[in-house]
Amino acid sequence: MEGTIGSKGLVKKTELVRIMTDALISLGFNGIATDLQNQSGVNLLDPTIRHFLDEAKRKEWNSCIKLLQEEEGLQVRDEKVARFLLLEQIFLDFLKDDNLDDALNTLQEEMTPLGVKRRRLEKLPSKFVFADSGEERFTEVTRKLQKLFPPAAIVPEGRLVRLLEESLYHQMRDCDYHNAPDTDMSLCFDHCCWKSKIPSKTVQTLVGHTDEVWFLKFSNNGKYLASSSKDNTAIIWEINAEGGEFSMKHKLEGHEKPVVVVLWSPDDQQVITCGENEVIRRWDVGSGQCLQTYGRVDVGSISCGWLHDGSGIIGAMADRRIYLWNLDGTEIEHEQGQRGQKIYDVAMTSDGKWLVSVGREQNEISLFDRVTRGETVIQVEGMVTSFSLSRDDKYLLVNLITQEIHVWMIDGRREPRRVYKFSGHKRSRFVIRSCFGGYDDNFIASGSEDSQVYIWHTDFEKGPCCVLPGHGGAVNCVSWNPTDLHMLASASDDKTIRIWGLDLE
Amino acid sequence: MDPRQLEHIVVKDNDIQSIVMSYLLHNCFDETADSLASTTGINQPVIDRDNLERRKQIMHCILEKKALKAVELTEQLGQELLEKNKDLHFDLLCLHFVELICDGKSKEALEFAKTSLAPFGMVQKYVGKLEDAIALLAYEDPEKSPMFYLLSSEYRQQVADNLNRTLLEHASQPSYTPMERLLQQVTVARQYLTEENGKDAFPPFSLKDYVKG
Repeated sequence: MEGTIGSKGLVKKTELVRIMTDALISLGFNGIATDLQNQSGVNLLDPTIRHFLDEAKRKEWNSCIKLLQEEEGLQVRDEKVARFLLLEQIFLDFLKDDNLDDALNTLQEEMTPLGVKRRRLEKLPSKFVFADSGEERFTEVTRKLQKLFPPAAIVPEGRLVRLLEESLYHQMRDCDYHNAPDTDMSLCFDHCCWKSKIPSKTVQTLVGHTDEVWFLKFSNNGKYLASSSKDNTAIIWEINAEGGEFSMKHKLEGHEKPVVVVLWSPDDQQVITCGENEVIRRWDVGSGQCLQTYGRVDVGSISCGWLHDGSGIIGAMADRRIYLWNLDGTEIEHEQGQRGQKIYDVAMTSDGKWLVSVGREQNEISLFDRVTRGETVIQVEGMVTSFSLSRDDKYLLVNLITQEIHVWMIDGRREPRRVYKFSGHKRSRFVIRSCFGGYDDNFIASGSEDSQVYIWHTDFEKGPCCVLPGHGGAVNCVSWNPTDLHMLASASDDKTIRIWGLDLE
Repeated sequence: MDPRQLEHIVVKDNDIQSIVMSYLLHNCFDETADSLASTTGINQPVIDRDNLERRKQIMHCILEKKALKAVELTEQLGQELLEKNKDLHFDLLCLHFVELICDGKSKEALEFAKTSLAPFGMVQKYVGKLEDAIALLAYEDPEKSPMFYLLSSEYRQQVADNLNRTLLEHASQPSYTPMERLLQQVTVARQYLTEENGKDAFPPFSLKDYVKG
């Protein structure tokens, strides 16, 4: 079995057979593996090495030493180091049996004269005095023994699969705008989805609101869509299991002002809505009933959010304060004092540690640490009109009045820093919202005043990769389905909601 | 510096003899001190003879590789002495350990280490030296090990000196001799002058060069 196989002459036939043998064994086909070795005449492991490792597995250290000395075919990289490792195990065994004489003997007369691994050697006598200086796991010992042999002598377990995975991973990395689920990857063909897997075609238009639609958001389980409108209502849409089409489940009526946002509880059983300069309401998704109203007398609500565990509500009110309520309406004390500016957006990270809020007069975002009660302030280059947190709470998506979208990294351990900048969409008078989405949250989608939906990939800041026309008015908000890479929803001044999917032509 | 300036300073013989005498007594050279007193006729300062005798005995124990005896004698002088000077206590116990190894009594050394030295292993600052000492066991011939300094007479002398100073302190006597203090002062004074006036005007003080003349 000599020579190489394949067009580039890089793959040695004997090695291919060996890693295939290893793969067959890991799939459970021991018989076939043996047949392969027999028929090809190529062993997965040299028999002398196999004998050595078998003896080592049975902790027959003296036998191993003997093999090292006598077997011609047993080539190790450094014989003295090999002997040292084996003698060390013998030494430790003597110690365990309380055989001090033999232990000392092994140490002084056999190990020290080798003249290798001095530092390790000098730590060994301490084991006489300090009994529990940590015992090395047997797997560590076998690993060290395996490393004694030249690299190609032993095939690491699962080598073939590892090589294949690397190859697939590279295909994914090389695929610009990759937005396909991992199940799409195959060993049978090279993967490249290019932009074909980005939602770009309107698959459904949802009509139900009677005025501008200002906000929408998919539920965490991706089965519902909630939208809110200037028509003083919010609507919960449900996806039909078979057709994949949305239909209206409930219209939430009760507000007397336009509904600014509608947000899902962590368990998707409830939503909260915020009336413009009015009150905050909590609704049950199943029945569509309003369960509770939150607010302050004479102070209108500007924005709201859920406590990370769904046990309470956050309200940003017109008196420039942030309030926290339990679900039953009782107020929870909040440490932040009155802010210097009107707060327009507020959210809590999913671990409950941070309260993020944005005001509109000053160009800053406030990160309030609920544990230390400390505040970190991020200065941005322009007035912030809205923000959105990534699902892993590590990134902050910020929409600026300067028609730019910035992404900040806020992983808590280091100073917040800006990592991306996107532009291309239009925003001049209204609040436009954007969101993360797609494969690994690598995409950013945003609405725009020119009635189009803009999509960027975070690897390509230069410009949007897709621009989707269709709406008849400014697109105010977008939401990417968290459980479906290929579904996007947009809300517009044209009173409709569009669901975007793949263009399958 | 002009050497002629030195001529103007008068140094009394008595002062010099006092300095020499205090050095001898500090280091327990009592016979030499007696000899000096009788030759020059100066009076020996009133010192605690008993304390000197004891110190002399203890120093000899250390130098003659009898560290445990030194510990015993020290404790006789004052129970809390070693407790308050843990570093010293540790050094003495280490010396005993090393003595056992040099005598070929490896197993006894191990037992001793387990009972008396192991507790020190909990404290970070002793761990290094402890590991060095115990590592001697890896060598059939400790003299040939990298830690051979632990066996040297210079090291024993160093430990003995430390103990001597501690004992003097305990007896409310000065732990440094006037001789040492004088030399230290000269060195520091020279350093200040050098800083002010540059290296060439005042080279650093070197006793060795001075003695050579």
